Amino acid sequence: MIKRILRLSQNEFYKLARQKITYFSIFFVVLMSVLSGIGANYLFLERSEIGSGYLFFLISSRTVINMFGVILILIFSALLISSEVSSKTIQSVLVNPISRFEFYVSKIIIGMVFSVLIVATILLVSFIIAKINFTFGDYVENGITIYTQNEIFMNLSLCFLLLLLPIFAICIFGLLISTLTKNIGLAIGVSIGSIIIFDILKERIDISHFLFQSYIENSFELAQNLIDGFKINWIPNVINCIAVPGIWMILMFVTGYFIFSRTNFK
Amino acid sequence: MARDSHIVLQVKNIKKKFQDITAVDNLSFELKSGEIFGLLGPNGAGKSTTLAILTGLVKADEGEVKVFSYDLRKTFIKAVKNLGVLVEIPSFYGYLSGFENLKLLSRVKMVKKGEIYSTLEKLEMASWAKTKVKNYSSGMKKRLGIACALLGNPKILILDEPTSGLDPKGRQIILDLIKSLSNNESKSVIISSNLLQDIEAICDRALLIDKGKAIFCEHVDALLKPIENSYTLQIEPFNKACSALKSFKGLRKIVKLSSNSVKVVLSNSSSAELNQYLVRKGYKVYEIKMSKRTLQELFFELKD
Repeated sequence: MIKRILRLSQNEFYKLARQKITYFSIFFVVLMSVLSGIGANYLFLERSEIGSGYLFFLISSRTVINMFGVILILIFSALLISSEVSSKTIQSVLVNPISRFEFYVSKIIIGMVFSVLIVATILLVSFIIAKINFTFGDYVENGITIYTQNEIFMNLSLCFLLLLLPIFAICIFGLLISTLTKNIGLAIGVSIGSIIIFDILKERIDISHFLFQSYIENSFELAQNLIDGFKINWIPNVINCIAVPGIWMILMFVTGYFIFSRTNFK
Repeated sequence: MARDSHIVLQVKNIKKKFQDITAVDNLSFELKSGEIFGLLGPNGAGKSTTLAILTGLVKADEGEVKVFSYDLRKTFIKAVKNLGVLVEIPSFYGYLSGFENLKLLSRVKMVKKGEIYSTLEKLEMASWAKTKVKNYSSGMKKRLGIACALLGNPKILILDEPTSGLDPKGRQIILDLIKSLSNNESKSVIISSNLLQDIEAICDRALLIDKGKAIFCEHVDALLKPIENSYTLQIEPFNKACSALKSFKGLRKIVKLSSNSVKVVLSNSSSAELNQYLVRKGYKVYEIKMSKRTLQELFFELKD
């Protein structure tokens, strides 16, 4: 089974490399990151100030991931099944010696790979701009080094690893909607629309702790506390960041696969 | 022609309902080794749903499908390994070439690259291999679909309307190919069609279905045997000769087919008597031949 999943994933990689949406998405997030870099020139008056690099890096990547990265990941994952169903290519694939489970898992893998690609591109471009225009360094307060530069980068890396979990949950959510709707336009509309509705509702009815997308912000808040020199209590934060998106991922995967395995493709 | 009676695919009492519509109703049949088996029926008869059940695209509500000894539901992958499938409207990734589409499939079927080229050559598609599929005609897509079905050298081919949408030349190429695959490579084939001529041209046996139910399952010769006492005539002057025919005492039914041909069904008279009658009345009789059934006639006759 693992061999077949790998072979299917290999096919998905091949398609990813040949599709325009991949290059458009990368170009778009690079452009947005560069534009945020240009905008930041007007915001950060003291570029040489120690630590301004971290601040820019966080603000830029947070803005681009929240505003554009999530939307692009949702669009991509919402297309994963619906585009195959609407173009009927799914029929040509599923009549081969593969199980629907293997096919579904390969779709999740490619969705996650795309998510990592988008997040990594945003972080990399933001980091390069920060490195060129701003200054990094140790966090020092009253002559005492609270965090060395290496410690800050190590902890930031952990924050970004935690960020991947809610991002993966977003991807599996898109795939679930893709499984439910079968129509490309509807899948994109419903997935983006429902995330926006959840975002509006989460503060009003105080459910943000239970929603996976809240943990994107959570990761950035941890990173923000870090560069502000606060000590971070990792254990409860890591548990929350893993548990809530993790439970959602399992629930959405099981629901999506249950529906997919019972769908008639004719 | 079928070489032995070894059963390679067995369908037992399959049923499928879509909401209130029964698409397949208690259908059973068997496919023998090396046989070309035709599924015949009008649009909406349940042919495509039956084939979709055989390939796992649609789950049957009841019944059992066995490919060799493998139950399709319980051991899907082992069962499907023996199948090469052409779906009704074969679809591909338009942004990839024909070769690339086959390459993706070859990974799933664990087939070597060399086989892709030989399959494309078999279907006279080698020159189109590098062209993006979005630039293919529907006939080319159909051929690429058959190439997909042939990849991996499966023992059974399931072809859903392989000739629909093809020009006469393309249709003949496909029919010849199917026949040679059965004759030379001992492949067992299930082919669905709503064209009686296709079934007649290549099939050993045929199953006629309507509203998901089996109406008739027999050798094609039996299905297509000429209708007793039914003749097609070419006569002149046409209108006057037709009027005269109406007063022929052995006539049971008369149907005009074209501007110079007519079909008659006689009760107990022979074609010689009919010919004699027309000639005696001074009409020219160019041809009298026994009529073959049209699909429509076959349906009505067998349903009655």
